[in-house]
Amino acid sequence: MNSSLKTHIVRTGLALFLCGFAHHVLRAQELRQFSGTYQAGEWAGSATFQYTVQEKDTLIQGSFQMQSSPTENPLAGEEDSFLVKGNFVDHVPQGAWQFRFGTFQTDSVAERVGYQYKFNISGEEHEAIGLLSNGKPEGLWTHVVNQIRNSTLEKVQFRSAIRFQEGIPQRSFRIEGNGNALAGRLLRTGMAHDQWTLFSEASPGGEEHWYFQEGVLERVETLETGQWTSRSLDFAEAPQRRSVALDEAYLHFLNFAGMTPDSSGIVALLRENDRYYRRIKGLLSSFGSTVYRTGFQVQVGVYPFTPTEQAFLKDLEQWVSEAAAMSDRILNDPQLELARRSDPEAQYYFQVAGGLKARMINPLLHVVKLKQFGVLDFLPREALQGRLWTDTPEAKIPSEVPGYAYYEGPGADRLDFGGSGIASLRDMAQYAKGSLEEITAALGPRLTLEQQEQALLEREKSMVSQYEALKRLVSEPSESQERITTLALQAVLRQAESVVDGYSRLSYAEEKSVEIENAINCLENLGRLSRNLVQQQERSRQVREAYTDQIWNPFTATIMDEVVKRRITTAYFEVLLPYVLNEVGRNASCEKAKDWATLLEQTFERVLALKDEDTEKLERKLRKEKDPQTVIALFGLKEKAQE
Amino acid sequence: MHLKRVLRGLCVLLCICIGASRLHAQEDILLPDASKYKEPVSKLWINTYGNIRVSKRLIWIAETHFRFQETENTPFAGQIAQVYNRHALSYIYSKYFNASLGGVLRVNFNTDALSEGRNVVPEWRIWHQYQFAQPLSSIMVYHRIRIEHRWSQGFAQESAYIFRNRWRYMLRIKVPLNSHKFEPGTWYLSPESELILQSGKEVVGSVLEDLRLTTTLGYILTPRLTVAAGLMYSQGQDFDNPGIYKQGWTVRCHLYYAPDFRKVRNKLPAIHLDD
Repeated sequence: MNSSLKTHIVRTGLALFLCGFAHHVLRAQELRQFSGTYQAGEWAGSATFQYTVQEKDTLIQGSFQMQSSPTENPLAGEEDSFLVKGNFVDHVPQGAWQFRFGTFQTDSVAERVGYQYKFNISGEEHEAIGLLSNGKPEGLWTHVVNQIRNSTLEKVQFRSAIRFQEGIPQRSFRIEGNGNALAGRLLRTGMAHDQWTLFSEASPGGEEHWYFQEGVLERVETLETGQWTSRSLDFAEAPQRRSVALDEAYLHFLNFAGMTPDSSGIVALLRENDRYYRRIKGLLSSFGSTVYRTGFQVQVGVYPFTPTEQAFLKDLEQWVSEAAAMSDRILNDPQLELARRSDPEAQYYFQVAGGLKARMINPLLHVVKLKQFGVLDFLPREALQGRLWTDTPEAKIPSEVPGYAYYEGPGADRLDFGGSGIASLRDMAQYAKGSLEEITAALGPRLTLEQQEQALLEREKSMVSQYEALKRLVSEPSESQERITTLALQAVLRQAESVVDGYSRLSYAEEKSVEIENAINCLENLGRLSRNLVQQQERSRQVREAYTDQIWNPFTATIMDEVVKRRITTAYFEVLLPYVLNEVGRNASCEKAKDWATLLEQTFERVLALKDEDTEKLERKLRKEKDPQTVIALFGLKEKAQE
Repeated sequence: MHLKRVLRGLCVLLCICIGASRLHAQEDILLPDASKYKEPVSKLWINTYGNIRVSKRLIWIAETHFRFQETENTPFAGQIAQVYNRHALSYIYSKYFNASLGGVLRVNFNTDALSEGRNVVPEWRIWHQYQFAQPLSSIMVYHRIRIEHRWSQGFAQESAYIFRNRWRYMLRIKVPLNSHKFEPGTWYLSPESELILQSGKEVVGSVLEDLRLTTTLGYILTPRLTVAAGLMYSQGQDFDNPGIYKQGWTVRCHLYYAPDFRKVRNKLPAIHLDD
């Protein structure tokens, strides 16, 4: 009996142990099948793939296929289609990938073949093929755009071939399109190097050359009407160098700096190639952990801004946009358009506004654009000025209106735009803004009525946008939102709707101009309350996290979460929050919205603070406390909502 | 001063032990031709395990066990056989290693209805323990080395203390059943095996005192409170005759608690120890 019994016990123990182990392993690796509608970035279509679930994350595994859903009516004009085939390992793209994007039109003439109608289609198809390793392009990637006419390939419209290693383009590449071909070389770092040449059918010897030296573009040569023109930057030696991507911003800089003509064939091909790469990137990036780009790098000289210059640029941006808005309004005002025909003063100011726009605002807007592209500091300040104006503008704006000599804005005598720094650009922006304010005031009576209406219109716009923002916030789907919060949010939205409805029933301007302020004020409060309600989920999480300590459990020798000061969190979660949410759900009035919002903000902060305070007494008092008013008092908060 | 007294006490004890062993050796023991297994005895153990945190790195271990053994009148739960008080101070070196040192007072009750000896005798021990834990996937594996220096006596009226050393090694795993890690609400299965060897002058041949094979099912109520119950099969050589093996089936019910009376703010820096 004994030996058999012993064996039995040992076997049973082992079996139980193995069962527990296998259970864990199996659960982690269960492959599931997906087949249905899937959204990747802005692309939606039918997809087929397998996936595993790990800690609530869906990880695509193995082969992946996705394509546009079948067309319901192919005769209904243009149709976009796409097809993606690839492979994943743990949701990271790995292995061979193929992308196909087509835009086709169906021929209106159909041919009957047996019991089927056959249509010809025309259009173009972009196909990209290559390998991805850890989400990065690897080896040769080709993008081809075919032009299809009557269901047959008419011509290859575009083709690019770039070789990658770990996402970095290597060696030589070739981009063809519009009858041109660009051949260039890269260093192992993806840095542009040596000669890049654009060949065309017309001039087989090349008609555009870019000469790089380890990323630095030293010279651009173009064949223009049979003559070679050479361009290079004649800037002073830059204090710093920086590697940047050869992208739209860099191309914009080259054009601005006068390195490339507007008609540059190389720029056109690079832009087109970049567009196709971005299309794939847009699709792949929805899976995260992918780096899909051409990765061409260049070196640029950088003339860094001082902190003062940066502050000046901020002012400049602000003032230029204000000045631009004012000049546009004056130049497009229909009433002024009529008035200036008979009123020479109106005509004079109209012309001055036009002059300010052309001579100052437009060039300054160009500076803002360079700044937004992040390339403004690639130019020394003197060169910047030189590219913006052939002759520096003066504060005086000449006039062609008889009887009016020229215009001088406020502070014109103090200003000198001849300086080459950001400071003088900023002065100019300030001057343009000040001048246009003066002009607007001078034109006052001729714009007044519209301005008042405009003002009300602006306020109405802001009211509507407040309401729209609130509506979006409320209707944003949130799975884990509690019903009580949803109801409170809906009550807030209903209140906002009734405020907007009430306003829209007003018909007199005087009434409106008073009521609009009330409505905006109310919507502001409701907006604040609704943001508080939406944030509550995150706040609750933060409170739970704050009141969770990690402690070492001596029996398992593992770290475990322990909820501390449970009476405080219970009072917060089970008494106070339900009270506020119910009250809001019952009556979300304009007057109370602000107080509820304040209470939610204050309790959250108070509860977080209580975590680190000595709360023994408080916890004793909170025991079984069900009255929200008492809880509010015990938390040391005055409930303003009830006043 | 104290040390001297303790040393003297130990000398006295040693003399008694040697004397006892001489007496013991004089008896004639008949070894059977083949190992003999006694019929298994059924027992019920109700054990409480207290781990009271006293400082960042020290835990006061306070265990009280009630052990019942079957008798002829009450077949399973039986009557109380031992009440067991184990105390120690445990030093937490890291979350995966701790060492403990302390004493045991075991009160043995005479369960032999026919015995004419005393009903209750005390037994004393000094013990130290080294416990290692290691995670393996979501499973935890524990190695426990426990060494006990034990002074025990029989129930007979003139029975003297005998001294023995116990060498214990336990391998235990804990498998969480309904989650990937141990957390409140986790059910876990814990198979364990413990080998208890003994040595000492009195121990002649009966080296294998006990081999315990246990499986328990536990439930973690909170990080500070766990309950578990299980079944243990044990066997070991009879102290008087190494050819005879005792056997036992024991139902074990455990309560684990780990209070921490320190203030929250003092507790905070100790959360992770060194990880």
